[in-house]
Amino acid sequence: MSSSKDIKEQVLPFCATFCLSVLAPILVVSVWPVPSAINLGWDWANLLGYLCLAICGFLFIYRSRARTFPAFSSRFFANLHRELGFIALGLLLAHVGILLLVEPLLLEYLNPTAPFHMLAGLMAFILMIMLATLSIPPIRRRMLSNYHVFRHLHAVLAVSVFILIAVHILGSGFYLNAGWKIGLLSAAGIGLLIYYSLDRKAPDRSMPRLNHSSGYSSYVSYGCTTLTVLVCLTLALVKQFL
Amino acid sequence: MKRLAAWTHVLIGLSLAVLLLFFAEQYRAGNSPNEPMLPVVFEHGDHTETACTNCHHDYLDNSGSGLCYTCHKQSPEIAADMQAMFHDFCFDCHVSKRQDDDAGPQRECSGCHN
Repeated sequence: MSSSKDIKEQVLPFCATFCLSVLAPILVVSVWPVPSAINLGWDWANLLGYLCLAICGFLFIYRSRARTFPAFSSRFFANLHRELGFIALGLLLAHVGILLLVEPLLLEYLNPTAPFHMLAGLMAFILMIMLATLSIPPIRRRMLSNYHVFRHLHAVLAVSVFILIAVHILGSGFYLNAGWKIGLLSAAGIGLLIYYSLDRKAPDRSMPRLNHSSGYSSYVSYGCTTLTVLVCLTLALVKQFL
Repeated sequence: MKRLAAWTHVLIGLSLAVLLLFFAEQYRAGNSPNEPMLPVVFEHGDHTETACTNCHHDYLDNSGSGLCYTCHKQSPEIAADMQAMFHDFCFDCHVSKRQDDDAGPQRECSGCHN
């Protein structure tokens, strides 16, 4: 396949699927009844927190292997998984950093006597740093010589982080101003973990692979995430005028 | 085999999250903040539409007298949830009023604490 045809027929639909998947929870919490705005920094930081959760959820869908999109190589999904994992950590740092910048008193929530949902967020933050650190190949090889042990530990920590972030979001209750929003997001989270646990069909290897498809992972990870971060900023900005 | 492994990840991950939350809650419940609470600015003049006994419940239930903090910070049964209790109490009213009209601070810490 030619490069421009690849991009039009395979990469762009994948990018669209990714963007819609990770923006879905943000759109759900932003629509009717529209939650009231606090300030630009606060709203943007919280939407970035939701984006982090959505990307973490997306990482469970394909588990770094080619399944639903067989035209991409396994290397593409491995690269994408690694890049999105670090982007999710970056979004988490942005979420915490921006909130502390606009509201320094939130430092109180780093105290171990903080409310339950804030402790869940704090533990998710610590576990996610562990998750990312252990995924760096030189560190992984030094600390966990057996790759299978690493994979199981990675999966267990990832599930824990996802659950702790969900507890943090449900407990904070930001923008969850209707029962249907809480119900839909909870059902999506539970459904995602069930989907992860199910056996899925192996990729169709008879389908032609894209040439150099691993290089396209950065289009999806860096390109699409930048786009979704800008969408979050726009939504936060629009909220200020509603 | 793969299915078993994935289910095991979910179950162990879930157990780990529950365990961490349990220990955090145990620690939190047994350690009320020792440092002074952040000072709160409360303008009575801004709250004239609210019944006094909404806050001053001790006038009705004879549960004590003096400053709110005297009971809410020192009673072991309620001290651990003091922060959440006061936050929810203020947020509930401010958020519900905000739907119709402008109300007081909802999430900005510095709106009440300064």
